[in-house]
Amino acid sequence: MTAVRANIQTSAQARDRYLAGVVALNAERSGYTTSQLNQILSPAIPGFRLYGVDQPLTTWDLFVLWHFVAMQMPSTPPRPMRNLAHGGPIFLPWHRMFLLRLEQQIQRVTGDAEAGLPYWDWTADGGLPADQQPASSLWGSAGLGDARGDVVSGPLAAMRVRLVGHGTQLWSAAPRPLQRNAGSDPDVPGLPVADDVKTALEEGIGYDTVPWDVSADGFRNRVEGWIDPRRPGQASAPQMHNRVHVWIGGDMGPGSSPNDPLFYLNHCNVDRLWEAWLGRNGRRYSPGDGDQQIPSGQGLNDTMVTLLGEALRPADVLDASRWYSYDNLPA
Amino acid sequence: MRPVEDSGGVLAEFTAPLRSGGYGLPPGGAAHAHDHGTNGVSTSVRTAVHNGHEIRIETTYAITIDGKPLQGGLEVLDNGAVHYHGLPQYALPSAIDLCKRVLDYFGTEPPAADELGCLVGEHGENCACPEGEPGHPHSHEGDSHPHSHEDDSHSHETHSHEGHSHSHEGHVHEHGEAHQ
Ligand SMILES: [Cu+2]
Repeated sequence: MTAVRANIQTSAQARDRYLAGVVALNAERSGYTTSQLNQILSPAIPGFRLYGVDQPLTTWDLFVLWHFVAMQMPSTPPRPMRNLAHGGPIFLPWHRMFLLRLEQQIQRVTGDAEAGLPYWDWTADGGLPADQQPASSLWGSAGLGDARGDVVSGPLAAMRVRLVGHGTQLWSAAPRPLQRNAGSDPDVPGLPVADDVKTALEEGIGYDTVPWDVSADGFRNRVEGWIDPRRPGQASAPQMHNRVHVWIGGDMGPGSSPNDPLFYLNHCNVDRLWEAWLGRNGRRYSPGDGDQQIPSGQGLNDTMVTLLGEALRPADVLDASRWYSYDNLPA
Repeated sequence: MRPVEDSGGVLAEFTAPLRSGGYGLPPGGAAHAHDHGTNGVSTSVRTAVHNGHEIRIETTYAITIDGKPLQGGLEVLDNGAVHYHGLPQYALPSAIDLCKRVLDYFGTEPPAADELGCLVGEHGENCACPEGEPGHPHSHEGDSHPHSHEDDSHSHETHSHEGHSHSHEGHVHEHGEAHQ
């Protein structure tokens, strides 16, 4: 059975099922406490441990931990912000695997084997005047809740944050509501717009290119958002995926950003854009044999950093049709 | 492509990779993450080739906030923007602006006392041990409590963190070695 991933702003059914699923996962005891996780992970990952209080974690929290751990994993040669989940070609396949595992957990807790993650096509809101963007149909008590401050309205008011990135460390702290700060960063007044997606999916654009990092101009980096391809070589404000994180702010800022269900909505849209690229350009991945400066752990057949579910390689996720499809791809 | 047997599975099966310490981890683990950014000092190297000549630029940041070293390091991108690993989607033209963001996001105090460090014997500035606990390496001689006499009307919350500055003489605490 495969899931269909729908637009959260046009499918109330997909939205409500997702919100019910994430609230259930955020309340479901995983059977692990933070001190137990330190006993498991500290020997396996030298230099890593959780800080803060000893407390039981939920299934939802384990995804936060997984993302944070992957972000700490080096890929050599070292490059700024490149790790085994970000800043290189592995960004899209790793997050595809990560989302797939959450989708399967939502299917389990909702009892609906065809529940698909919804995506947030942020370019629709990006077309609104900046001051109206934090008040679009995504937000409010029928949807994702408050866009600024503590999330105290809507279904997500029930969610609690237990693991938080503090600097480059992951801390276990007294459970608290989600926090956001949408649209208040003066450098990032608005969400990405339709033209950004058009540029990212420009005809003939390759998947990724040397030096396979945050400076490379290819589809991966255009959607990850480290460059603005219209201003090559210049330091730019965060674009696309990065921009959505920064625009929302709050818990979407640190490496613990999977705390907020918006993380998955953002990445689901990113994955949808990748699916559009794959459909147009073939189910290909780079770097491949014969390429120069290939970053470690980011090859087609390298096992991706996995804490939950079966470990996959980029080669395993280039065709996702056995798991899910999108109701609509960008034209 | 290898066919993938993939059901998602029940919770016990689902957390199997976690129980065995994770799959797909690089040899040497996260040691790298602690190599740079020690004591607020971080170095990054940029290289380029121009007309056959090799350019190499080594940049070192030594950052303190209120006199305390910034935890974690800064890296410079080829385009000159600065990145802090704790805010993974940012790269800003100015390190000062980046430090302002770090303060806006994280403040200067950690979100909890660190009882997990105490459990593994890794006592630190933010640990949760009761003062004077036997075998505990803290020394409180150097403590200063700036508001202790003048501001009796202030709440005790504001006092508790400021008074909690331990001195670390004789207490070896090196990241990356504590768990081997
Ligand atoms: Cu991520």
